[in-house]
Amino acid sequence: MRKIFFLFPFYVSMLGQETLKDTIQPKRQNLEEVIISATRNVRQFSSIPLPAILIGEEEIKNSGATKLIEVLVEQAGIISVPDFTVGGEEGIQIQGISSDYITILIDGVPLIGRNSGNFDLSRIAVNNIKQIEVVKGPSSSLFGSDALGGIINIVTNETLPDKLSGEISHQQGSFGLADSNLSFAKKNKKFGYSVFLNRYSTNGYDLSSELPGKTVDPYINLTFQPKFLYDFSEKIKFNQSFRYFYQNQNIYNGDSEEKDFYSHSLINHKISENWKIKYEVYATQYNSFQELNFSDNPTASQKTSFDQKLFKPEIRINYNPITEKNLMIGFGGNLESLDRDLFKEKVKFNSNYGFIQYDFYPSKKLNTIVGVRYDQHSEYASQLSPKVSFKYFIKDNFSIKGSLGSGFKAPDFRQLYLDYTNSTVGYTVLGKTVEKQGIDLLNQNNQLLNLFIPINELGGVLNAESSTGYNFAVSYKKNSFFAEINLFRNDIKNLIDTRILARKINGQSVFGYQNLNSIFTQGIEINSNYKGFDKVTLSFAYQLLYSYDKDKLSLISKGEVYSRDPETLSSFLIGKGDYFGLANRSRHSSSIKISYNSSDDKTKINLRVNYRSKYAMYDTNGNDLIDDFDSSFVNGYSLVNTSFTQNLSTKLSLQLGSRNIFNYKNPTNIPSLSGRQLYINLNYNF
Amino acid sequence: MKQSIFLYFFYFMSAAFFIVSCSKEENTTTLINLSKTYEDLYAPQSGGRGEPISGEFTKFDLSTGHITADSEGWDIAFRGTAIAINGGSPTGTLDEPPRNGNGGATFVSGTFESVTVAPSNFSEDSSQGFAIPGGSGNGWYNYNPQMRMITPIPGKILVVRTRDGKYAKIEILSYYRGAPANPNPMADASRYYTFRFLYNPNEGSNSLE
Repeated sequence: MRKIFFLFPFYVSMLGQETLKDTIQPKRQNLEEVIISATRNVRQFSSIPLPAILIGEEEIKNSGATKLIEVLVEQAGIISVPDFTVGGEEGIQIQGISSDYITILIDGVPLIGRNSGNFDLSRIAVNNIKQIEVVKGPSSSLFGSDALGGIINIVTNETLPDKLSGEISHQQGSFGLADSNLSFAKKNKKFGYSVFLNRYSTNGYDLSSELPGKTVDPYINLTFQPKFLYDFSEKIKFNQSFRYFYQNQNIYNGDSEEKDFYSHSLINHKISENWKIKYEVYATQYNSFQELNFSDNPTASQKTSFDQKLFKPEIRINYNPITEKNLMIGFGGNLESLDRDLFKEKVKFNSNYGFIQYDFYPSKKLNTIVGVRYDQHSEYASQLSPKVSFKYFIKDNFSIKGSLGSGFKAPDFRQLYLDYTNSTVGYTVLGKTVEKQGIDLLNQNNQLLNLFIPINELGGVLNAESSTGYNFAVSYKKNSFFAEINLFRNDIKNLIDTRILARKINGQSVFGYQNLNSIFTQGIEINSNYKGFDKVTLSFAYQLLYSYDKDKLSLISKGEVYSRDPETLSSFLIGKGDYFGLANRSRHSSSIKISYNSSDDKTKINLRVNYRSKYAMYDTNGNDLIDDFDSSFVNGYSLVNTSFTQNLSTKLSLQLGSRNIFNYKNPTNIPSLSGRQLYINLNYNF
Repeated sequence: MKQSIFLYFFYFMSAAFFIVSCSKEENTTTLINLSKTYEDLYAPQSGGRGEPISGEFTKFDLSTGHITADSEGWDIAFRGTAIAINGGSPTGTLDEPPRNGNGGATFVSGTFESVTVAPSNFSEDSSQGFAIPGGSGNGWYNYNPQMRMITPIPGKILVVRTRDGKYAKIEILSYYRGAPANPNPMADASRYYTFRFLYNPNEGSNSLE
């Protein structure tokens, strides 16, 4: 939807002028609205039957963003949430589901390195991105594990220019922000290449000077993404891309490093007009390393490392006899390994999968996509993930669409293999496969006081977390107005959580992992824009969200949940109306964008407001759920970003901007908010 | 209001009856229930953090409503988050007080007021663990690892059979000194129990009203 918001106004205002610029117009027309990751085929965006967002290059550039997270959190229905498990301390939520459950892809292949279960979205630079695609709702029917809540695909592929061209840009901003980019590309008849280089550095910031260290420590990111393509013939085309990423952060009393690398090879083989085959080989590695040194207490010094590898070959066969029919069959495998110092030994996963998808038009106005994927895994039960979706045009400007799909997230290495005893506090955490051994060992060493779980229940099966997602939307478009209302519901079961297995003689617990909770998120998304004004475009998005734990709801209806009076501290019974819902979820969120384009397209100004209503961080009154009497509520807030772009010549442009212009801060609860950041950006195209 | 007038009347009549009874030197007396809030019972511990937990338990006598140093005249005893009962056998932890009574403990769900009768199923301390289980969500508290905060579970009323077979109910209100409404585990001192309780001194009566 986003692209409609931002690109159509350009067309409209320029067409209104009737002085089309040759240099710009053809380029924009080439930007046909297509989405790749929704079906894993290039597909017209406006007809896609799934809830999705497209964010184009133009929008990314105009917003002045340097990192993926900054772009995502401004989108309809995507909310920024504090996330203490990742370096940037900021994560996202889509339809109330956090980024642990969302697959992050670059050109269709998944990025790895979820150190504590979550993916650090500040690891990805945006300057070479052509398009960001967000598909909401379970998408495991195409992408397998982790796509439980949706996917985010970053498209960097582009049509390469015949003569060498590229871009140099630099952004300098508050908190020592320095972001430099160089990219260039060229294609001869058969051989083409493109190169992207980025260096990002920041001094970090400190919100609470009384605490040692900074809130976010200084760090440097380096990204290098070269790409080569070679057309063996009209029918066989080869594409090879690499990514290398390095981060170094000077943490308090130590040093932290992160690296990722991938090699992605793709051969497109057009056997005939109807048959096409894609052969893909993807190999990737992620390392992180952390060292803490305490000069006054050398024994507390420690080193931790995390080394993950994934090798993924895949073949996809496409059969489309006529343009309105497309059958895709794919199969492949994942070979995964993880070496981590909290594990006894290096662990390995193997999985094989196959999927099939049929995209067709039962009638002229009705598009239907059905698909299913089967994942067979060495460590947990096999998964079958079906999905069906449709879009029906009632009238040309009025359509409905719906989808029903399932998703899953496999238990991760940590939940299966962790064997960790905290050296200072003395508690122990055991992954499922080492549960029995670990308890036996503690028992032999006379460390165990008592066991809370029957011994024959230890080391059982840990199921994948799984979801079913429902979406139903109505879209209306008339003249300069567009609106879409989407109803969604996601039922998620078998969520993995820790439970106490036993107590040790030191009074500390032994924790294990178990499938515990069932939750749901449901709500309404509204997405609209108006471009009836001459040079100004307005867009407005809103999300209403309810998210609850099902077991908690049933306990409340049985009258078994109490809360505590904040004044007298005595207990009283609560009702369903007192249950606020899951932690870190806001009932309301909204984003408003206003953008101005001068008629000569040289001046662009935009203002973006993102709001989220109050939410609670955790239970404070002991009933293990968030009710209206808890004291950890964070008040609702808005963040306002703005930027001003001026083309100084056809090649050079200057941008001034501000993130969080009203300097909203909440050091205790939202350490990811640094306060106002001003920046200046120079961009030169050649 | 009606109820409390009735209650006063009841107390008055009981007292009158008590005086009359005493004068007649008979045993059929009804004693007044002891109901109060005990603030900041300090229950320190040593060890932990990888070492075995040790240290004296802070012992409490429900019949007097005060802490006691008497190794026999106690009903429940506190050390850190652990609560011992004067009944059963040793759990195996260091420095635990000797059990010489017939105590027991159990949890009843409800508000303090709604628990009016002691149930009949009580657990005792044993080598399998304390009658009042430890651990987040198992016994009387929930632990928030993110905030390192101990919060008593609301609606869990601890019913105790005392060392000499009387009954009492206890609602733990806070684990932090001064029982702040919103404790800050970084600033407020922990291991300070504030609880309200009602003790029925009458032999053979399981009423907790």
